[in-house]
Amino acid sequence: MRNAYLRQIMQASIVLLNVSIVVFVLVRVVPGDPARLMLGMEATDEAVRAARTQFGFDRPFYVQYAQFIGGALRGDLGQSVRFRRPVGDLLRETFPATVELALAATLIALALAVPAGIYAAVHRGGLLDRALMAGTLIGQAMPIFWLGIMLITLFSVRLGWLPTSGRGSLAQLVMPSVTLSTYVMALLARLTRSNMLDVLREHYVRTARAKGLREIVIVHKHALMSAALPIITVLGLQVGALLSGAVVTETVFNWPGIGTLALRAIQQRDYPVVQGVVLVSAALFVLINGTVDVAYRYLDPRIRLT
Amino acid sequence: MSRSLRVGSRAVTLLVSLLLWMAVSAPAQTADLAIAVATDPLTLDPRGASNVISWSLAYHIADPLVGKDKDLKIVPLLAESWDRPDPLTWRFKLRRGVKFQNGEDVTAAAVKATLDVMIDPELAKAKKIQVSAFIRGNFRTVERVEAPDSYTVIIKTKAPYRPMLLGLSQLGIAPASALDAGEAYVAHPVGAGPYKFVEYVPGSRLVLEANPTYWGAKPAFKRVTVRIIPENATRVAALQTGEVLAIYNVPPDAIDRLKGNKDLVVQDTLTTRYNYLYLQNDRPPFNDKRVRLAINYALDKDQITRVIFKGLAKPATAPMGPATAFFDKSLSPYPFDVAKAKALLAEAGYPNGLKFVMGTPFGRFINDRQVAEAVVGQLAKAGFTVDLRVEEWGTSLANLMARKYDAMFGAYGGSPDPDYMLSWLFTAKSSVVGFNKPEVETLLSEGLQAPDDTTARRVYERIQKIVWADVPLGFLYFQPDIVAFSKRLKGFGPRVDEYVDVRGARIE
Repeated sequence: MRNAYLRQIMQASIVLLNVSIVVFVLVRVVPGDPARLMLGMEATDEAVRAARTQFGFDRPFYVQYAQFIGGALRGDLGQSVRFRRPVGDLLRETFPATVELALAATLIALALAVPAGIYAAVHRGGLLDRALMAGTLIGQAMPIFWLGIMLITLFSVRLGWLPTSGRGSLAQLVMPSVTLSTYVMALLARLTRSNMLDVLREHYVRTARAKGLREIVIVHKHALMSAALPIITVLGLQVGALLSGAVVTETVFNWPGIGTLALRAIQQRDYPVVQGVVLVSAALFVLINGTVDVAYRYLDPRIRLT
Repeated sequence: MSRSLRVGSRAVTLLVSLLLWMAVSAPAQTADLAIAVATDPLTLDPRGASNVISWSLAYHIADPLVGKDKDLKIVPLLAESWDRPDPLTWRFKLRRGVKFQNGEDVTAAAVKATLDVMIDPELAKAKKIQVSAFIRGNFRTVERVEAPDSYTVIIKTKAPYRPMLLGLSQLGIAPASALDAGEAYVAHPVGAGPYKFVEYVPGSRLVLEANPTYWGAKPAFKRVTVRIIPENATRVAALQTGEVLAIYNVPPDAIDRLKGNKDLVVQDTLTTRYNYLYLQNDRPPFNDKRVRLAINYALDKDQITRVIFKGLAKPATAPMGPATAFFDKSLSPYPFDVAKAKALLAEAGYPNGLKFVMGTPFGRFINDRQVAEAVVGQLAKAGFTVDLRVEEWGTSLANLMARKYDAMFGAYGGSPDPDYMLSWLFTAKSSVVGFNKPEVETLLSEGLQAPDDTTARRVYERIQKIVWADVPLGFLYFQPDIVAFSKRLKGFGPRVDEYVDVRGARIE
C-alpha cells in the first residue's frame, strides 16, 4: 500500500519533469521575442538586446532550463517579463479565480447531470428521457464561446438580471460557471444514464426488488453507488477539459483566472509566466487524478494497488 | 418513479434559488466612473510606456511637464511656462508648491531624474528601469538636463530639436525616489496627476482614485475603474447594460446596434494612425518601382473603407495619419485601376503576373484579417498571386523585424509629430522596408531642426510628396478611432491621438 503511494509520487514527478521540458522548449520554438514585444517595433536592436540580457534570455538554453527547474523546485517560478512581478504572485492572484470557476462548474454539473441521468435511466424511452438526451447532445456540441455570448445577450443585455463579466460578486460567477459546466454536465448526464441502465439490470438489483425494497432506495442506494465509480473517474479526467474550457470561458466573461493570464502571457511571449501556468496546471491535473485513484479504493474495495 | 423526479426537481429548485440569491446579493456599484478598454497596458510606468493605451492611462497618474489638449495643442501642466533662449536650449519654469501623490515635492531634481533615465541607457540599465524606445526616441538629441534651482529645468540638445514639447507631453514625471525604486515603482506608479493608482489586476481592471491634493481642477470622479475587456461582444454588452459608461475600440459591426440605443452616443475620429502594406524596397520583386505602383493601382481602397469599415475609414492620402502635425492635404489616393496595374507589371517583366508572400497579424488592428483577405482578392485581379500568412501579433512582429516576407499588412499610429514615424520607416538604418534615399534623410534632419512651424511644414510636405511618389508602401486607409458612451457622460470622446482620456470628463 505504501509502495503504491510511493510509486504514484514517482510517476507524478516524472510526468511533471517531462511537462517542464516540453513547455520550456515549446515557448522558445514559437517565433516571437518577449523583449521586442515589450519595447515595440521602433526600438533599436541594441535596446532589444539589452532587454533580452536583463531578462536572461540570452543565456544558453541549458542554463535557462537549469534556472527554471532549480527555481521551481525551491518554489520560485521566476519573474514575469510583462508585469515585472514574481510569477508565483501572479499565480496566487489568478489561480483561486480559476479554481472557484471550475469548482462552481463541477458542482452545477453534478447537481443537474446526476439527477437527470438517473431520471432518464429509470424512465428509459420516455419523452423526458429523449428530450434530456437530445439536450446533452446539444450541450456537448455547443461551442463554449458561442454559448457564453448568447447568455450575456439574454441575461445581461435583454433581461438585465446578471452582470456581463468580471469577478467579485456571486452574481458574476453565475454565467461563467454555467457556461463552463455545460460540456461536463452533458457528458455526466449521458454517463450516469448508461451506467444506471447497466446497473439496474444487475442481479443484485433484482434481488433488492425481490426483497421488497422501495424503488427509491434501490435506485439511490444500490444502483447509484455502483454507477458512481465511472462517474468519478470521468470527472477526474475532465479536469483537463475544465482547465482548457476555462481559457475560453474566462476570455468571454473577462474572468481574471489562469486562462486569461496564460493567453496574455502567450501573446507577449512571457516565457516564465507560460511555464509557471503550465507547470502548476499539470501539477493540479496529476494531483486530482491521484486523488481519484485514492477515492477508488474507498468506493470499490475490490481495487487494491499492490 | 415520481419520487426520483421530485428529488431531481428539488435539486433544480435549490440550485435556481441559490442562483437567484447570488444575483440579489451583488454589491452596489461603488465606482463613480467605469469605462472599458480592449487591451491591457504594457506598463503604467510613464517612462516605460511604449504604446498608446499604456501612456494614456499613465497620463492620469503622472502629469508631464506639458500636456496636449484634444486638438494636440500644447498646454502647461507641471511647467507653468517655458522659453527657448537659443535653438539648443529649452528652459522650463515649474509650478510651485505641487506635490507628488506620495508627498514628495515636484522639483527640478525629479524632472531631471525622470529625463536622465530616458537619455542615458547605462543609467536605465543600472537602475533596472525599462525605458520605452518610443518615448526615448523623442529625446534622442538631448545632450544633458540641468536643474539650476528647484523650479527651473534646462534641457540642452546637441542639435535644434523642434518636437521637444510634443515629446515631453508623452512623458509623465516620476518622483525623484522612483529612480531607485526599480520594479516597485512599476508595480505601484506614483505621479503628480489628478488620479492616484489604487490597483491593477492584469486582464481585469485598473482602479484609480481622485488625488485630493491635485494642483489643478479637482478630479470629477472619486473613483475611476478602467475595465479591460478584450472580447468585443462582452465589451459592447457591458456598455449596453450600463455596467460601464464608455467603451473604446468599438467593433464596426456593433455601431448600428449601439446607435439604435437612445441613451448612447457613438463617435469616431480619424487619428494619427494609417494602415498600409510594408513592401521590401531593396529586393525583388518590389525593388522595381513599377511593381510597387502596380500594387497601389490594384488596391481598391474604396471597397475596403466602404464595406469593411462601413465608411468610417478613409482611403489614405499621405504616408502618415491625418491628425499628425504638418499633414499634407494636397495629395490624393492612387486610383483603383486594374488595367494600369497589369500594364505596369508587364512593363516590369511580369506579363503573366507575379507571386509573393504576404504576412498579416490578426486581432491586432481593427478587422486586420478581413482587410488582408480583401487585399489578396483585389491583387489577384491584377495578376498577383499572394501567399497569405495569417499569424498572431508576436509572430507577425518577429517576421516584420526579420523582414521575412515580401509584403506585410500593418499600421502606424500614436505619434502626433511626423518625425518619429518617418524617421523610423524612411531612414536606411532603421527601415524595415529597405528604404534608402539620402534626400529624404537630409530633409528629415532639416525638419527636426526647423526653427519654426512654417519651415517645418514646408519640409514635411516635401517629404510626404517624395514618399508618396516613390510608393515604398502599399497605401491603404486611415483607420478611425471609435468610442461609444452614455449621453450622461460629458466632456468625453475619441481623441485624434487615440488617448483613453477621462481627465476632462464628468457626469451630468
